Amino acid sequence: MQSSVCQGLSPLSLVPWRALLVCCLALLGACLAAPGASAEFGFRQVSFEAREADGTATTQAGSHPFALSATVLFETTGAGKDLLPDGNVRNLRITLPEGLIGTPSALAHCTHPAFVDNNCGRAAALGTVQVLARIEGAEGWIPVMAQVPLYNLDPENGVGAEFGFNPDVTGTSRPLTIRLGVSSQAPHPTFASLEDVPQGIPVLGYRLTLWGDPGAAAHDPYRGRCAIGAEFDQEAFKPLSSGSCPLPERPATALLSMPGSCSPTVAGFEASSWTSPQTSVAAVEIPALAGCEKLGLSADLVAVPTTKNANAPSGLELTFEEDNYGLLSSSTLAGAQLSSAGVSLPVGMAVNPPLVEGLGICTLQQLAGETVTSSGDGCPPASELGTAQVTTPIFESPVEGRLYLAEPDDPRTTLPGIENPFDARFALYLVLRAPEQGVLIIQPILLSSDPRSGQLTASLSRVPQLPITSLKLRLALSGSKPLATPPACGSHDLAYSLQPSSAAAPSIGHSAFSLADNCPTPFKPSLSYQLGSSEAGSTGDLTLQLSATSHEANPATIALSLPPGLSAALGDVPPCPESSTASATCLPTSRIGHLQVAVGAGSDPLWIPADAGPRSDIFLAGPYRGAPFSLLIRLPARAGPFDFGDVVLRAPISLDPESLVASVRLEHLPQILAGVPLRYREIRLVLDRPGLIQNPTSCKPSEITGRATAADGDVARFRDRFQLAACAALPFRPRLALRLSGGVARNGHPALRAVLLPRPGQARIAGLTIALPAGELFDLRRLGALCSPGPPARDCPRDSRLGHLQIQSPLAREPVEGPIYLRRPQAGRLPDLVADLRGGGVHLILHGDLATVGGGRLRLHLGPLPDVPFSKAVIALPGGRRSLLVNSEELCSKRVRVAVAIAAHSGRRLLLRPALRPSGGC
Amino acid sequence: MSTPAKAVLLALTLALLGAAGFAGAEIVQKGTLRVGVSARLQPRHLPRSGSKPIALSIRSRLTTTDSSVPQQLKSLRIEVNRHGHLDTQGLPECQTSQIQPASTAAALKACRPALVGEGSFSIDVVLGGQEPYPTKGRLLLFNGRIGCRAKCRPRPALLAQIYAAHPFANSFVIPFRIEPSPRGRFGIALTARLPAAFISWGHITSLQMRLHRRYRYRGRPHSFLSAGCPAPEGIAEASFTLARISLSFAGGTALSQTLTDRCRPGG
Repeated sequence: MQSSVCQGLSPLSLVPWRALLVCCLALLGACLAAPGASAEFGFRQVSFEAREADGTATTQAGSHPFALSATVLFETTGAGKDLLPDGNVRNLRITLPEGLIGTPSALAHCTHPAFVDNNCGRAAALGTVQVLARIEGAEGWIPVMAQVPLYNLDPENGVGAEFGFNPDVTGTSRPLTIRLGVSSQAPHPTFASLEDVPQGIPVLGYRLTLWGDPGAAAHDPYRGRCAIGAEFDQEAFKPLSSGSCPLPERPATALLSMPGSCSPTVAGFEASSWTSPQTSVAAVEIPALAGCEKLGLSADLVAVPTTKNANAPSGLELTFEEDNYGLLSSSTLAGAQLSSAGVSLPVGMAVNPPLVEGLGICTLQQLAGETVTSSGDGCPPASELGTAQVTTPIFESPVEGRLYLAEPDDPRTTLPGIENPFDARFALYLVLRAPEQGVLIIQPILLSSDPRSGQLTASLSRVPQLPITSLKLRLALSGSKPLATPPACGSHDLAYSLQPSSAAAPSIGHSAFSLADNCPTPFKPSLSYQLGSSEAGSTGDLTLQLSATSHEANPATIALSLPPGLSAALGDVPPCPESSTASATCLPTSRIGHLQVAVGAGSDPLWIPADAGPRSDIFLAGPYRGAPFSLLIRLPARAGPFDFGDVVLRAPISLDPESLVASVRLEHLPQILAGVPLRYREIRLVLDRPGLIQNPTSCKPSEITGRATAADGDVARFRDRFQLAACAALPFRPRLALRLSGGVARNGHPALRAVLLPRPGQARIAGLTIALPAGELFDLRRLGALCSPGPPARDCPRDSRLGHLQIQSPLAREPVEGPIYLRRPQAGRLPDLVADLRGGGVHLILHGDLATVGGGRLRLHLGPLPDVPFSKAVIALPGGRRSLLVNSEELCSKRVRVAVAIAAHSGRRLLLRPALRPSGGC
Repeated sequence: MSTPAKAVLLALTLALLGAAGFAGAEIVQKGTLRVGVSARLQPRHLPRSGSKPIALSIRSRLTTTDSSVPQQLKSLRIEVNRHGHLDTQGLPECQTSQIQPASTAAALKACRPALVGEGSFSIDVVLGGQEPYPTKGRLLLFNGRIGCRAKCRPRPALLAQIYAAHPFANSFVIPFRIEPSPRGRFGIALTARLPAAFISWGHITSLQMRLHRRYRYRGRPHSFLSAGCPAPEGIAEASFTLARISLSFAGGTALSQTLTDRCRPGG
């Protein structure tokens, strides 16, 4: 590998070191011979090369070069004896090609005092520095090219590594140190920095040479003091040795390893002068290396959860280890470095929603505030999700790190990378900070969650080409366990794929862990309810809550049946228009309650929505899936920093046509949301619209029943006792008006109209019995067909109609009405009545019977009536030709009374004997 | 009914068995339909010459051999021995409208003076193909008249009013037309065609009626039915053809049975 740029010759042309020397000498000659065209301070020429002992360029990736040289020549001004650099260099920084690894920490060091006293041992010598300078003589400026040894120093605090050399060619200059570090900017290349170069000597250029294997005997002629004063052999284009400085023991420890990648790289140069604040920049493109196929990645990855419990909150401890033997062994190729990685957690091990409680995020701006020394302006502690520790052969001590949650992507922003580099919902930042070495490395990690299975995959790309001996990630803090273990016990496999920088085949492997405790139990959720009032006939909120333990299957469908009489005044609620149901953007007038769910593993699940967050809504909507009404649920899935949008559910409300018992079927409960499995712990449905829920007026024990189906198909049934109190306190004084009209004479066929008016706040009517006067007979001659008991009442033949019934109830926006049919009974029993009533979405089938009681009185009975409120009921039996009643006595001849019994759901019974008033006169 | 017709003498042929009394039930079967009928005359001691007030009881029981509901009875004809005497002179008449609709009590209240007999009935009520609901009730027989479709004078009739409280309180009147029997042995015939509305739901399973009424008219005693036992001298008990009952059913089935009884002639 050898590259140089001789500015003014050809831009970015690549020439060998020998050519560079020629260039340097030519420069000197030109400088002496002709006046130079003055330019501003900057690079005149730069080069970067790695070579073998025979002088050829190093081309094998991962090999340890014989020497690595970086040469810079600065712009000059003047000519001849007046030739000088156009400004004295102050700072010089060389950014090494990505993947070029140096391990000075593995070699002998020289202390700073020893270095200052020129007492560094040979073992600490790593190379040489050649300085091209001008010194002022009696007859003007004299060109000087000096060579001095380069020593490995004990790094100062905050410095990754430190090399030192003494460029004193006159005995007046102080020693200089080259600080090496890792750039804080991706891809985090290493750099060498020379700062505050003294101005005493005008330096025209430097040539820094590092030995790949400092212990090699080939470097003995230039090791340590042997490098000092070596004259330059212009014939051989190399310094002449001033002796031999062998090592008593030759460590086979390599200092330099070529990149483990075969892609072209770049070496960068930056310099500034004492007089100009501007920085001059140059770059050298390093040609691609070869032989990457020889480089593999010898690494292993092990991951274990922090718990042995299934379906439990857990952290994850992940250890990545890489064999870096070849990096330090001068006789072995260094392996490739990790380039990218993908780690797929076992299916079922997923994000645990409660982790977002109190969780903060780290924005890109905050991430940019991360510094080597502190994180005061960096990622907030609330966004921290874990810790990391990296050991690397380039540093003696481990590098500590933190894992932070990246700001989730906001789909509303259109520009890429606004919130995080991946535009992803889940991303982490691994921030490695080694203040002692001046290292700050930020590695974004993409967390992908399979939208169907929730399987989490962590992806790292463009991993800094720095050697890693071990990386320990602990995705857990003391109060936070961001993952949930799989629901099942047994062995679970974590799969990983590690891509080496050499582009060789990835290293694919598995890491298994076992869960033995908190194993799944049978699906058995429990149901509970809460009423705003436990008194019969009162109104108040209704809360229905399904609870499940963390180690049972996840409910997918819940069907609930309310107890008889627990009704909702749906007729007072304008339903949400069908056109608005897809987005659940309904008017507040349609709102009847809200829904909360608690999800996640562990004892402290996450409530959605949170108390402080946007509220959820339950709206009343129209027919759905064959049911007359439906609940339209809008659940804003916003938790902590995450916004999953609104979850819209729709639950049909069925009313049993005979009891008007309401059943709600909450189906297709989302099992996973944006890749986060939702393990339901509580599902709380609250109907809190004032006046909506009306308690039964019966105090008989009943129950709320239900059935839940788990995602795996298991079915659980549950029931909860339901009983109200204070029925005895409910008054019961409904009003009843009876009227006969039409044929009131004997043999006439009268019409009968009964109007029943319950009083608000009183017990509801359970049954109505009207015993007609003995003179009213049933005219079977007028009876046509009978309705069959099998088919629906709506299919009853018209001829079987006995009359008409209309009920006005807050349950429906319209009157519920329909015909009363005479229906064929069961074997051996009398014909009975069935009323098929419809209106406002309510379908009500009422039963009754006709019978003859003492003295041949025709008795009409309707009941049992559902324990739901109604404001008016009108029973109309037609007169005339359609009447089934016939007078055997003239109704006007005497005061006719009927016997009426009205039963209440509260247990009361009201007996009346109202007069039957013929209308229209007699 | 003409006066001669009203004066039909129930002459009991004494060529038969000597002792008068209630005839045993005669059973006739056709297909699965089995009909048992019986008739009884009271008293059996009757004058050898002249007549004496009597009571005539007729019973009919309709069953099937397979326990199914009997076919619907459409018409009924009761022919009585021509020596029987039916007298309605001076007997009040009841109008159908007075006893229909009406309960038994109301019918009696309205037409008790015209009452000439009583009885009972049992019916299988079959509504809309349902399982039969058996019910029974009281039957009242009133002297009356019925009209005819053409312009004609109302004709004498026996109005059988039935009232059932179950399954619904309802009543029916089955009018028996009283007319001379064209056949030799029988003098009068009571013919009834059951109302179509009744037939639509009612399956008569038994019918029992007893005709008997004594009353006074212009100071003289009368009897709705009277008969003698004109057996030859020396015969203590005579058997005779009392009645013939003919039944026709929906579906065309027709059954007929002649019933005999005995009488003991007296002075």
